[in-house]
Amino acid sequence: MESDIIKSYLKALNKGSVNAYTTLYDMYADKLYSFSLSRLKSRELANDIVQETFMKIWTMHKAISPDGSFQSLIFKIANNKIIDHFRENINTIEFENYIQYIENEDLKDESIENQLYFDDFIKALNLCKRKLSNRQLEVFELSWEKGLTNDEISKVLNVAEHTVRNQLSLALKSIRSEISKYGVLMILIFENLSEYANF
Amino acid sequence: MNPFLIELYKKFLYGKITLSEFGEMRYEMNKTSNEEFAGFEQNEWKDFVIREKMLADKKTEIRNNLKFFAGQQSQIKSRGKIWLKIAAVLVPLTLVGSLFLFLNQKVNSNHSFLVEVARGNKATVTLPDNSKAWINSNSSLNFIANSNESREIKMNGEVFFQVFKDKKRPFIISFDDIKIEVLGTSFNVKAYKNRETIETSLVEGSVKISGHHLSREFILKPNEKAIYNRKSNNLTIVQTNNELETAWKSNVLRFDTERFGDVMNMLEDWYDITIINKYPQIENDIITGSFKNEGIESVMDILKVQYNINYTRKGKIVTILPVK
Repeated sequence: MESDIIKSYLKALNKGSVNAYTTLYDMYADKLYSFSLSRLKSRELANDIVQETFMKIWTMHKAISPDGSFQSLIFKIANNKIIDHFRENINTIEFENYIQYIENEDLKDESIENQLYFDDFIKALNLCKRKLSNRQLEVFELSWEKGLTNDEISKVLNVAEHTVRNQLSLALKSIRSEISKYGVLMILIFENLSEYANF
Repeated sequence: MNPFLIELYKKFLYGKITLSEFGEMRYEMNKTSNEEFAGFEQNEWKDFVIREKMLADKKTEIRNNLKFFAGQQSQIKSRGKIWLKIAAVLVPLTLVGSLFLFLNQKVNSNHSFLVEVARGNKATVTLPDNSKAWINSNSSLNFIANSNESREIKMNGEVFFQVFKDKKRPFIISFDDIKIEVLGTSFNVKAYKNRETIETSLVEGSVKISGHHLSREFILKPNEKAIYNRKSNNLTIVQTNNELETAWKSNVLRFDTERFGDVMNMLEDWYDITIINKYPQIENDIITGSFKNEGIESVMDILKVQYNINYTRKGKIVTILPVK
């Protein structure tokens, strides 16, 4: 289904043209990125998938048939990696926390630009944890990261269950308000990073 | 894949899944083979419509990485000898502010290379593996490529790394006592020989720290800092603020609740001056501040007002005095 233009790029790629290689990258990177992102919910991982897939393409550039479907080739290389990450992701407690957070905060219907991804969530969470008191942090980690019930936490820490409930709700409240500010914070971080790039 | 799973999975893809539905999807997914899953995904891919594009900077960064990768692979095949060649295109990117850059690059016979940055200067270099390093003043870095299996760094001082992702070749920074191992990530290492601690702050990705005095391996998460004490062989992990940890890269001199004595050391390195303190009572005062592109005079003037000290300056020697 691919056009003659792509066929000519693939022929050039066979001969080792780096220009053809980066042109093909420019054409397909966004599609692969977006596909990976919707599955892995992490911009960082999605970028990795794109880079690794295209690195693999270079290592086999002489063997790629110009008459075959380049899109299918990208899919074949990328999909194994995506499935592995996907399976690993969904079976972690952090990812479950992320899904729960999205559901509770009713972020399900946010537009794509405002979507909070898993990696953003983890970063934001780590930033926000700094603002918690020691006791709040302890309760929060036992509950969210170790998956203990309030009752179990009260036994571990030797405090009343209602204390655990209070501390946990305070911690969550503080984290919520921090994360809602996070949109702005992300922008700050990106600004900083691009400043380094020009350095 | 059964229709029930497909419905749940699509909700997941659009970010509209509830926790209980997610639990069911995970249960079903764990029973589904890779082949079955891949068969479904193949059709999804065919008709897939882009919903979010890559960030422009990232897209460019990866394109550059790929160009580099393609060039490197070709050279391995045609010449077999790659390190010398690439070390020669190593680029010092910029002069920093009014400070001039003193960069000493040597390529020795073991195909390693060394970058030394003198006091009062900073440098940015691209390493032979396409990783980037921002090197702070009074610091040195030695990149050793023994084989195609690993990348090894020896360093002194402070360096911020942006490691080129290459899963096949781990990137290892080794000291006498500990080892920091990474895949692809950005982080800051502060390990001056004359100080007791080695500090590692992670911005992005993950980092593994191990050492024969350590009871176990430690994995750092973003926004965490590991502080290893060389005397007590203790490692502690604390939450940190990366903007603060890496401010030096953007030529911002920043200190947050640090001892006056330590700040004097930082100023000596930063401005390549010698500070004589004739007011030892203030050594342990705690100070906080941030300076961007300012000369030593204006920094001292601010400290003078804020902390009630006096100073004199003769060339490269600054003397701190009590207020009469």
